[in-house]
Amino acid sequence: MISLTYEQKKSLGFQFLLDQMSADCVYGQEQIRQCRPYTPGEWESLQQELARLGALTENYGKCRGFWDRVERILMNLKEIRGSLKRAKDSVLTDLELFECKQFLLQMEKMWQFYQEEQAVELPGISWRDCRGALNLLDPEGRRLPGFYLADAYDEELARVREEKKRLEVLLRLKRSDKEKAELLGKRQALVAREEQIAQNVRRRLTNELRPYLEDMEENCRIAGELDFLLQKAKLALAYGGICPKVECRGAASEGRGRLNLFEMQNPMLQESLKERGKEFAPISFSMEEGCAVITGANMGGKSVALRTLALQVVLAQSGFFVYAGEAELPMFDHISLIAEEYQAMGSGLSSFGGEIMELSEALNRQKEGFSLMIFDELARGTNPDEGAVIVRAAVQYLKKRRCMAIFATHYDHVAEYGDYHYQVMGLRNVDMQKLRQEIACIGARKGIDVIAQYMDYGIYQVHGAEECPRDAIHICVLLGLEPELLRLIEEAQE
Amino acid sequence: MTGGQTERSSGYRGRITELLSLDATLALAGMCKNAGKTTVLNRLLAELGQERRTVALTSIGRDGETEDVATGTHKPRIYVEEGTIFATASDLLYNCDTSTEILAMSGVSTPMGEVVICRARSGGFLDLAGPSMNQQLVELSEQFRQFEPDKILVDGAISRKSLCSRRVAGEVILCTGASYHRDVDVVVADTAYIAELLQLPEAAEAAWRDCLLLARRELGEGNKILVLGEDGAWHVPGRGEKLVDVLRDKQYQKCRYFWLEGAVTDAMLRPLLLSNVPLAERVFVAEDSSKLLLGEDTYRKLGRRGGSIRVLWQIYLRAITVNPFSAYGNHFDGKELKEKMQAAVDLPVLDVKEEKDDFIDL
Repeated sequence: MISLTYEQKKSLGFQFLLDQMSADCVYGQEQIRQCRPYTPGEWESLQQELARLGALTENYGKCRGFWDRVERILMNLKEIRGSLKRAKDSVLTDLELFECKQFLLQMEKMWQFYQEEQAVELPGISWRDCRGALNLLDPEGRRLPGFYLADAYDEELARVREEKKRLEVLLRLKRSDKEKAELLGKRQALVAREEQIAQNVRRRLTNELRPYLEDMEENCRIAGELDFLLQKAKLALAYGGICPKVECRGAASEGRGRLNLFEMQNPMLQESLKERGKEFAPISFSMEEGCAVITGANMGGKSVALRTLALQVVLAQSGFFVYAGEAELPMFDHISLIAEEYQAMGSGLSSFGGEIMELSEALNRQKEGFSLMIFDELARGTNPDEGAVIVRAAVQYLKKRRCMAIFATHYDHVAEYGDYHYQVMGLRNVDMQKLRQEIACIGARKGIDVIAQYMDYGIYQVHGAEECPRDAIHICVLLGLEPELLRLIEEAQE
Repeated sequence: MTGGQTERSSGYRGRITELLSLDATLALAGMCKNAGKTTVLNRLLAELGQERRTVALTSIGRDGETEDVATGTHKPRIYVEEGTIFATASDLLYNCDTSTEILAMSGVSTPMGEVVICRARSGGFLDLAGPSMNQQLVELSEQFRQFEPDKILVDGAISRKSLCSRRVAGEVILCTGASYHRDVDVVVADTAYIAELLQLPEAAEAAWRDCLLLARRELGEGNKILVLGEDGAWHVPGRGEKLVDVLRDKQYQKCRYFWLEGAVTDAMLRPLLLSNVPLAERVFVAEDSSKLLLGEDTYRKLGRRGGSIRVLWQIYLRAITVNPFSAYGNHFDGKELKEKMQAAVDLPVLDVKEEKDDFIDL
């Protein structure tokens, strides 16, 4: 089973999306809260979920008015499952009967609305007709929101109430204290009798409701699922999500898994870039089983790529749309995200120690199923010589295992051990001449901002051996580092 | 409905409803426990019932228990007529012996469950526990209105500190009695003082009211004072400044009006009285009299120095009721209490026990 910590969800930008979903009713709220990735064994359920999300997303834009009305009905639904459960073996109170009636009134509205309008068919979403239950709680058929154990339920109830009213009129006439006390005594007895009969009526009503309980519970479930689907559809439309193609390939099945994510976006990072007036550069990535290595200088591009990639995997496998131009993914039994920033603070271990603990747990999980393993700057916290050795060894080890492992690292000579090599674009496609002129105009101090603007945080696949880009040195030159020092750096390079 | 005859010597003997205006929400406030609030409420409910008016009723916090938990004295219960709308916590619904129709859930939670809005389909005794916060009461009153009551009543809680704010109630009846203090003169004097605060008039210059409402939005955390400048606009003095420093400030020397946000306490005003800042003609404006948590001493001294307190919204005090019966044993002479109270205030004064046969009192 895949489980992510809150920190991980936050870091990927998954929590950002979850936080934007606001359910219309308590049932949808629960679905959002309990949302977890499907397991490879639940492939068929995931397919159904994605298919109906697709159908709904398409229909939502076309039939906005219809869905607005559905949501307004959902918003009026209160939690009644406690009452439904109690109804199985106890007698419902007036308040519970009232809540059931409120629920049933909304359900009738929904049911009728669905009959009148040609709603798009969504598998698993077909409302049960509970009008029989509503008629029980509204014998006069007035469909008013209040609930009252009406006189019509029981002849004796009507008689007792009439007598009670008669006494109340008498009480209002001027009388001695003794007469009053006598009348109140009589009234007290009638109140007790009224309550007795009322309780019998409640018992009868609860009994008569019992055959409908299953359908009412089913409607609660449907309300939750539809609510959740609607929120997912809105999320897909808000940031341009597409339906991912999820292959049923896990550890259990034969054949190699394939991960193909074209032009991915990350809504959280998009939003934060937008605030700074920048745009998110779409990221494309594909691999089959094995090890991929993303290299690049320490500029943030690698981490963004990893997080964006992991986000799509988590979204797709949780039954959400993904943010990409095209997406084809296998199903994983495990997803391991290993990076310093995901470590629980205060666990007492050094950041390096914590990482190694995580690594060894991830390797254990890898033996049990098909894993996606993501390493963001593994062993960054230790000395660079040893760190590089550890990462190279990890790549070699995982290359032979059934998993997809992706390493982002700035250590040298890691990529050659992997199956796939990606490189952050950086300043690769930049016209250096033009950039130099621009910095000359604006001055070295503001040059950093100019470079940041030209910097491409996208990644590209490297085929065969390619020389490591010289971005760090380019930056030194562009920012006008002391010539003597530059000369020494260049000498050392050669 | 106003215009009942008030006799200076013997107090008011007319109907309570004649003292009220129909469209305002009425709150009952007590000087103490056992001030006879419920008795007054029952009489009022009976009167409104005779007039065939639909009442919507709730309370601040809990009331209506048959026994006073603190002193063990027998307390009257609230009795409502058929048709009354009421709001109480769900746990107490089954202590109400009316035939009860459930109308709506209010969304306001209390320790005794969510407040439920009901209609009494017969007369009967109620056990009320409504919202305890002003904001919730405002929301509940809004919900009451959809059932179109003729009059909304709020049974206040004990102690004047939880007096209804103007946002909740437009008019109020103040209940006092022998349980407040063993000395009848103290009861009368303290009640008269509270009555005076409750009757403080609205600051006259209506023209700057709208400006004030806007300027209040400028007030930040820890900033409670606004000064009406000579230019006719309200100014926020330097952040966190004390009232005494603001008054001393040369630039505000000619200013008359000072808005005090939130509660107005002794601690705020005492430094003024100990200093030599000129207070003559200076007017301190509070939101409404529920915000005035001032000891009589401070209030009088301020008056003697020429300063005064006004409110933005006046809550109309309609009557004072007295209860000569004490929960602690030392009962007063009803006639004496009523006469002394009547001599101290220019308001209708009623003895709650006098005409008991009009309504159920058990």
